[in-house]
Amino acid sequence: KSSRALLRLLPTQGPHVVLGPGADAGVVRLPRAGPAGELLPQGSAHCVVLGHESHNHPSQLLPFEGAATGIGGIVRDVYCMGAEVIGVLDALRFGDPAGAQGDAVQQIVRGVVDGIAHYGNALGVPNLGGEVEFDSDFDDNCLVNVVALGIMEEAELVPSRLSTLAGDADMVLVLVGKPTDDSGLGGAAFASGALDSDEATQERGAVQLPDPFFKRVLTEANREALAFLRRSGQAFAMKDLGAAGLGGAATEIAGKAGLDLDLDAVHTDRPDRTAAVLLVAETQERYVFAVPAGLAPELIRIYEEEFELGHMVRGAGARLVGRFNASGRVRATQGGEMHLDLPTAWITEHETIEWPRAPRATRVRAAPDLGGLMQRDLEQDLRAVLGTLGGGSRWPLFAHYDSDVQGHTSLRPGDADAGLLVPWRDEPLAVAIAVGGPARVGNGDGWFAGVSSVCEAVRNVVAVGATPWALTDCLNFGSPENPECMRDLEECIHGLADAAAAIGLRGNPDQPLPFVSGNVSLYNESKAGKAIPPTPIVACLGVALDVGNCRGMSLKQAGDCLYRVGPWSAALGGSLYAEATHQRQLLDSTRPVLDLDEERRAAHAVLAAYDAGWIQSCRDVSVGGSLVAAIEMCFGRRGLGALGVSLRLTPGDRPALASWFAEASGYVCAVRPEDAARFESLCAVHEVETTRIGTVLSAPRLEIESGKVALHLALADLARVWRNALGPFVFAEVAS
Amino acid sequence: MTRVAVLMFPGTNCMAETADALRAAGAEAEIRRWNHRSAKMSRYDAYVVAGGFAYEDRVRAGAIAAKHAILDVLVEAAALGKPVLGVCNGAQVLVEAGLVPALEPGHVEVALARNRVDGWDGYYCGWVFLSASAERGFLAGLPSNLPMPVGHGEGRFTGEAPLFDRLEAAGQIPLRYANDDGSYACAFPANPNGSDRAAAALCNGAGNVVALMPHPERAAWLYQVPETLPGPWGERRRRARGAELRGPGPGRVLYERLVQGARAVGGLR
Repeated sequence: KSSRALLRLLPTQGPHVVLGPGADAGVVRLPRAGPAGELLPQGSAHCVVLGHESHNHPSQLLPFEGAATGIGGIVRDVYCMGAEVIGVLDALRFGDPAGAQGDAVQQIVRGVVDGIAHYGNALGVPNLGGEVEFDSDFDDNCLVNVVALGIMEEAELVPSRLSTLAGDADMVLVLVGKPTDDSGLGGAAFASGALDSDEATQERGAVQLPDPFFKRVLTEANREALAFLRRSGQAFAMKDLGAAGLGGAATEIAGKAGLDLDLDAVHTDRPDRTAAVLLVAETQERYVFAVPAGLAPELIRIYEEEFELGHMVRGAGARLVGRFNASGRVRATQGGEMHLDLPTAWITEHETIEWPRAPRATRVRAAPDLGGLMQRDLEQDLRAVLGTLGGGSRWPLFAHYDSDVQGHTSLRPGDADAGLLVPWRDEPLAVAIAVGGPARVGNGDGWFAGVSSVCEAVRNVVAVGATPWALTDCLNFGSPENPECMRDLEECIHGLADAAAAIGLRGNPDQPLPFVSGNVSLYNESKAGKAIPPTPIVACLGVALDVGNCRGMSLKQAGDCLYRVGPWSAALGGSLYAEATHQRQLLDSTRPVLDLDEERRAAHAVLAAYDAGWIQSCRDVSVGGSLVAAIEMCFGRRGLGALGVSLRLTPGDRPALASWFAEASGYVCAVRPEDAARFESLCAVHEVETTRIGTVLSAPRLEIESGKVALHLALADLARVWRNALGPFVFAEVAS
Repeated sequence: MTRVAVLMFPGTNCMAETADALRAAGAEAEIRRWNHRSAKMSRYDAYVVAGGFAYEDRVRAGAIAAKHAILDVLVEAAALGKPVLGVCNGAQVLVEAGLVPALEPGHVEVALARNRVDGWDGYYCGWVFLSASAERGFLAGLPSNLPMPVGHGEGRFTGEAPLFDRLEAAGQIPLRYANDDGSYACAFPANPNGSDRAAAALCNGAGNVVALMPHPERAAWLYQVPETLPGPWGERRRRARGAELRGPGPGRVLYERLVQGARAVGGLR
């Protein structure tokens, strides 16, 4: 646990936080409406549960199983809080499928996407998309980060550990789910070891085996079991089996109490399983309950008889495997022999290692020479950007995922920057969820990576009209034994904290957006020992009191006015444009300044315009800059949108191309002409630079006139380039 | 009130939203597990087999569930003329049980095979348009060009050509995938799976047992309709403000017809 001290820098509290980091998943209360329609952080019983984890190394070695168990693990974390899981999304980083290791990378991409689809589709949890980026820095070490979102009432929160010493309470431990086998043996330690191919073959046995079908049945059984336990009115606890298997879960659920585990009672796939296997194997789809002994028979009956677990997978079921006591020790016996006898506290407390950190990086980015841009061909460059792996449509991946199951989904992947769900059928309340992560950020840029990930995730939910409500993070870094990685990690955490404080909880000026759950993944590096770039992935939960006020990114009506909300920049450092057009000098030059104060004002201006009902469609400016944002608003999810845009910009002394492609933070919004003047004054009140950039056209055409640059073309042609960008490497869609 | 049972097998995962959609359509809907006591099971006015992956799609999608004892309840309901609807995996179950198309009841006559269509491989999630032509049963008179989502990897109705000729002539293809202009769709993505005769649903001769691949419960509220959908339902979604967004979606009518059909049968008996 190399990162524990640093993580204390993150804000984790708030008036709406029910349970912050430390449990399997974080819990936040949803808002209720105040007298003026504002969001009150207290007074509602509805809660959202958020879990966020990585499954990087398993996915690199066995992409299908690794990605599938990644989903399986994170949903288990949310289920065991007592919640229903209503959505998942992923942040993925793959190597370059056209690069030196292209064939291997392509196999990993397909395996990971198939694994995510296989697990989520069969389990019946909608996938709300997320993020996918490609970069040769990830050739040897892909990233698979998964976020799960659940709902419950606050009173339904299930504790993960006994709150008493259980001296005379007569509590027992019941293990439910698949029979324990030797899969995933030593997985927890394996998941954060450096990868090389020899080790890979040796450690295959460490990969866990997913079973979404069984998990679906187990989830139905859990719902009935929890209803029974809640009805009893007696205290109980529930915990999923993840890292370190039964041994880990049993000691954690014991809290400060003691536990006698009878390993002979554990249901197994074969009779000859050793105590070591029974204690640490990471067999999937299992949970433990701590319940009063008198409730155990009925609890077991629900799993064994009502849901016939043994008919689904041979040997599956529910067994009473332990008794709690006040000894403060965890003991495990098998065949009358003691195999484990340790103080509970000794097992659950972790050692903290302080690794040295390199001094602050002073990476200097040169001022760009923009002179060359005057001679470039806009149409050609636009095709290059939309046709790259970074700029192309993600639809060929996302359409393999079931985004509609459960019937809550209102905005799907590709419809908007965030997924939007209506979790309660009789209520207008909507929740948005999105991830943000850095792209083209180098080592030494830890702070920027942290700040930009928070801002991106926040903008994604604001763009659909949802108020940022809570954050989670998964920090993917290289080896902590490398001082530069530790420095990047430390600076990144400062960046996350700075951005969370600056953006804050709307209506509560001094309250930072809290991080309610998090995960750190270290030892992400290439075979040669080169660390991946700092990759903090941030998820943002957004809330809206009425789904009827939320909007996706697609343009709605010809004649609407298009605005850029947020200041302009001509800095192209780190931009997709510079990369896609191979302008190395620009790629390494200065980046647009990320002003956190401006970031907050822009978000608040957009949300206020949503409150007033003036936003027709909106998307955030990110990869590809303002021009790509506007074009994707025409495209819709498959590039078949019926409307177009006429864009006009007087760029002053900056080359037009630089302004259009710079990834300066902000939003592009469409507003009805009758609301335009009011919208402009509202943005002025919020002190946000806002520029009218164009008008929505009644046909799918793109017309650009800015400075000396003019371009008139049909969008169908560009849409084809965009739609097929991933095709040759990932999944081919119809090449029309 | 019309009582509808939503059937759940191990691996079924669409029962909650299916029950919600039935309630919105005016039914009293109850989710019933595969091993529920069957004496009580025959008291419902209609049955819906919900979507998912029953028995993990082992052998073939729907094949194992189709052999379960609870299917006797559906056979009896079908014979009594009660509406029986299978959605997605539920459609696969009804086909595997020989309840659809049931030219010879109890015989498996068609298959829901793996999607096979130029331009896509495997599971596909997206929206399609349906052209309606039922003359009998609870789908008769359904409005045409209804948009609805699909989400499946094995949804291609297929069988021998003469058999599909018979089904076509007998009006047992009540819903087909359609292009924008209303014509039957052969190409992806308007036809998401390469189904014979663009069939999105098949029914038995009387029209009271329907195997339907698209998911009307995922289109039962307007907020579920994509903003980018062409046509009047897309336009309605794009213009909707506030509470309008929680009004009915294009799939609601299908469950309303099922409830009306159940009432009509109840009235006859």
